Amino acid sequence: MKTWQRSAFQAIVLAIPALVCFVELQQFWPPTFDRPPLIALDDLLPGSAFTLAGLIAWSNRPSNRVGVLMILIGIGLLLGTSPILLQPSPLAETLTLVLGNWWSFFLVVFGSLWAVALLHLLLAFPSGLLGSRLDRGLVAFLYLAVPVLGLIAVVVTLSRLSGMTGGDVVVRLEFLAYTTGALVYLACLLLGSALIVRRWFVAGSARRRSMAVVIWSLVPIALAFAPAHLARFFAADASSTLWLELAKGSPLFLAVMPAGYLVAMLRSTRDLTSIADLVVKLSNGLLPAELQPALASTLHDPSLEVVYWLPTLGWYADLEGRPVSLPAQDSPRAVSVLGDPADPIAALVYDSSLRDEDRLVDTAAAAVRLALENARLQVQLRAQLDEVRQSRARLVEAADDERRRVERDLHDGAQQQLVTLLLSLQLAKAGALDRSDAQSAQVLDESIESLRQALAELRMLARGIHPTILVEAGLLPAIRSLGERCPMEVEVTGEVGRLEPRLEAALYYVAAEAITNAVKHSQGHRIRVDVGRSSGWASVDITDDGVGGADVSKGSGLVGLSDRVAAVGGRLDVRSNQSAGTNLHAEVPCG
Amino acid sequence: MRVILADDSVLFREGLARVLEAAGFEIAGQAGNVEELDRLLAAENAELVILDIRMPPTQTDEGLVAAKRIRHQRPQVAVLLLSHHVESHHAIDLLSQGTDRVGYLLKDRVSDLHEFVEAVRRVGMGGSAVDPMVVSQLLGRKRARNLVDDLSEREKSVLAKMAEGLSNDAIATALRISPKTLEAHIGAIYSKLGLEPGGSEHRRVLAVLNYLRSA
Amino acid sequence: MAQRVLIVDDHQGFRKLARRLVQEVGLDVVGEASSGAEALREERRLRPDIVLLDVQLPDLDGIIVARSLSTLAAPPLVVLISTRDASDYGPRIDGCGALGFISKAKLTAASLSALLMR
Repeated sequence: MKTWQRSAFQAIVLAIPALVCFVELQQFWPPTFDRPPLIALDDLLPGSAFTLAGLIAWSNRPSNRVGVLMILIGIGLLLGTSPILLQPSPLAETLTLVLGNWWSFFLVVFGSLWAVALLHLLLAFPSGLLGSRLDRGLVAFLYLAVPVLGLIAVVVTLSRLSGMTGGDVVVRLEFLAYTTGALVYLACLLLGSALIVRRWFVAGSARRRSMAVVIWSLVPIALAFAPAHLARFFAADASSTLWLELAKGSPLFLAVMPAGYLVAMLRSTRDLTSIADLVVKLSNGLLPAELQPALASTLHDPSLEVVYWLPTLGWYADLEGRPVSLPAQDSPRAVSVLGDPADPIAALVYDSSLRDEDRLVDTAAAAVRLALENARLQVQLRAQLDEVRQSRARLVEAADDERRRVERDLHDGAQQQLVTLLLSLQLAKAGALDRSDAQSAQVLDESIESLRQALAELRMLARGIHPTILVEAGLLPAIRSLGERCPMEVEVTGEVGRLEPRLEAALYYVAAEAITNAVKHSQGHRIRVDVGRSSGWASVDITDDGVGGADVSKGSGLVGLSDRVAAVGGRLDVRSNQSAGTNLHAEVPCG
Repeated sequence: MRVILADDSVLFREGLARVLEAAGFEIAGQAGNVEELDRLLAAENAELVILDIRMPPTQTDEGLVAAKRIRHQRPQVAVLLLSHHVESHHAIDLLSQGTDRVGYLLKDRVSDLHEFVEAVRRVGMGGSAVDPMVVSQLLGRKRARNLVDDLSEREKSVLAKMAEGLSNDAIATALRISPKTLEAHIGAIYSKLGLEPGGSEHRRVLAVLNYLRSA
Repeated sequence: MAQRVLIVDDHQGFRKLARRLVQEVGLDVVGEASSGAEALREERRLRPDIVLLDVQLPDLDGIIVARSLSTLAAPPLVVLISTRDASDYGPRIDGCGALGFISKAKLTAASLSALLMR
């Protein structure tokens, strides 16, 4: 729409409330004490307020349907609730003259449609779009049903007034039409309220903030609507003047709503001052971890997340460097990518209700751009470190798997075959003895002995590669078994239960290496091994009474152990003072 | 004596079957896995089961689990568990349920057929057999206050044979000493180690093993 | 007394055929087996003088069965048979302790008795 067209439209829209007000107020001129012009306010104020607020909203957010809806409601209110067009006036007379009875129909229909538009507005606020299929269905139904009901009501009423045919039937029809109409209104009102309340419960915090005004306006709307329709409903028996009185004043409540929308709109202007606060915070230096909370508070969306693009890894990550995927297009989360879309710096993920305030989001993002770039470097480091850590864990696990596989192959292959061969040699030897072939028996005997030794060596080898007892019985029996084979005295205490195989392996190899080192270098006599498990950590603690002096930085064995423990997320401490023995303490998280 | 063999290697089973048949045992059946073993146990009136610790499907300790279950469900059946490696943990685990009709031996013990067949017979007749390697490892352990070191070499040999599950007669024969001398040695061992004397010959196995393991 | 033969093959049809051949040669068929494990078990039970052993068995390699049989105190004579040629198995046949090898295509009463007479 071109500027002049818009201005013209605005002028026309503005003219309607002005005209209506002028005509209406004319009746009260000059003002008297019994008929103060003030009592016209309940007719004029809600409609005018909606029209004006709608105009302001429309000129600020032309693409948002909320403004147009509000204008429609405003005009509908003015035309439908104001008695001006029904009362004898030059305007009404002219219109009736031109349009005949259709004028009444137009009034009834238009005077009811504004209520549908109001429900439409409530459901669509603040984006102007109807979210669910149920919302769209309800609104579409009402836009159709209300004119139809109105038409029936008018036709019936007109035929009664003109006294056309058998009065009784017509009166009943009329009553039926109004009753049905009132019931439909009530049902829709309840359903609409339920939908709004549901939307409130599923909404994100930012959307709730902008919806708050809608929710609170439900109260005045209910106050405004219920009496009016109940009045229409009960008016038939004419005894209920109370309802009529209530109905007369109730539309005033509606004037609250456009005011609320303006407040909600003005707030985003006010938020520009919170951007200023953000800039001040930035100048004092914001830590990467403080960026997200600062942005969240600036944009009034506690659910806001900052995710960083990691060009070397090719994915988005959170502050901890963990991979994050951006929400899908149709999710209730909106995404704003910062920087060159081909090579972004970061992205903000926030409640989609903030979409209407994209300028605010962009401004805030621009303000923190430099800080975001700094934070991204840190995130990238973390993510890479994490990658390295994970690949190390994978390597250790793969190596352990390989050890287990080799041990199993040795066992199921070589060992089994050699033992079977041992049996065969025994049988052959028995045969040789049967034949009194002493020479063969002698040779076979020697072979049996060599084979036995080979088997013993193979067993030691397999055990060194991977002790089966660790898989079969767990860490404690495996360490006890180590101790039984150790030339130094080994005392094993504590209890640990079964752990994940990778954790059992990590702790076992620490104990095995520590015991081997103690035997080789400590010149001590005793080794104490204590295993334990408390508050999610499993540990093994090995102490000898030797000369000490072990150093992680020197011994490659200890470095390997430290790596192995770190690979499962644990830590290894080595304390070794000259002449005070060596203590190794390893602990791993075991959930 | 009717024997069931369970091992996933057919060749080993067959070899063992021939060795045992030659020694006068009757092979009641052979099984390649635990299900087959259970079926045989139900069908055959066997007195002894010899099984490998590793069996399909996981090839870890299915045999040990099966051995403990058989001892619980069919206490009249003797069980001899064979393994490529021996662990005192398993020995004590197995013997804790009762020290009669049970044995735990290294598979390579077939390198000395005479000793092996003797151990099988001992288990089948209601005694126990613990692999000498388990015993020697426990005996050789270094201890803070090592009472075992106070034993003479001969007494240590006697203690080892007791831990392996040999009867007094068998020990006397093996060490070529008179029953009387043996009695004296055993008395000395009990008093030096502070063990409660008495208990039947195979019942003392667990007491000695536990002593060696924990002291 | 005629020599006692154990026939080992996983095809029943072939075992029937072999049984006829063996009887033609004037030997006694004392048993049949359809797998390596069964062969070892039947050998232990029946103590045959001769084992007619198929190389391709469902569980064990016939050559390995032959080798285990050859280590026995009183080993039976083993005749390996196969649908393939001896050259397909190479030196493995020579080292397994079997008396000889006859491919199924050439298995006749004559070839069998010739091998056993050797």
